[in-house]
Amino acid sequence: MEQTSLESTLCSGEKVWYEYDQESDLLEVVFKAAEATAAIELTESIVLRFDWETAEPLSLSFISFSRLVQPAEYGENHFPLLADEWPDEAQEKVWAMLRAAPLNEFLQLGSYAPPHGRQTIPIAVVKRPAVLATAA
Amino acid sequence: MRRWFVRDRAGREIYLTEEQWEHIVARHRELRDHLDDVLATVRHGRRRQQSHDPQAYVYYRPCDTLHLLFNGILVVVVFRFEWQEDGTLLPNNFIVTAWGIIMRRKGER
Repeated sequence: MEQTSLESTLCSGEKVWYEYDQESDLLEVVFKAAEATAAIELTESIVLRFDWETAEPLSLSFISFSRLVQPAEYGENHFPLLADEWPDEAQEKVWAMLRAAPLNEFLQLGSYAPPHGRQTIPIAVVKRPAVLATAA
Repeated sequence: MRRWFVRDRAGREIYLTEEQWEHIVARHRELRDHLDDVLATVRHGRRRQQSHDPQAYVYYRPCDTLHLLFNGILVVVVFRFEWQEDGTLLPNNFIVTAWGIIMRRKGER
């Protein structure tokens, strides 16, 4: 499979590595090359790998990346976060990571309150990194 | 290079190349020594279509033999077609990647 790899620096000053596979349209953003001790599905198309002890994000993977960032008829697509699928003991760690750098440079959180719904649904928009403007 | 072929619960043939498997375990080391579990996830697991990409599916299944906190496996499979030399079009379904994950198990909430 054909891979594009590139290194970049985020607004927060952290270095990241992008690995994009064109054939499978899979993007992996690596924040730190370390062995993950935990991983969860953030959305049906995004997987977060992290260090359980330090709650440090290690990588984000985007399935069908080019379609995730494709604007829809009325603007950007929002994807529900699968928070109900995260084990209770992971919730606090995951929310803290999502609200901080570097994840907040890739995902913008939001809420959707369905009419007559009892529960607000957490959602996210994928921010397309400028450095990948031509990669996908 | 070897290829492993499996059929999912609906009988669709899906393969994993050795090259891709090496790529997967180099990055997702929790799956080292779990090739059989990854293939079993495709063979017996549930699948979910990506809402924004009808050709991409995630197969998932609990797995209790992974180390640390990991208790499940996710496998991404893309479903494509490939033209043959004789002009026929055949399915080309292959595993793109896989992860060990931590998932809420049934009855935990």
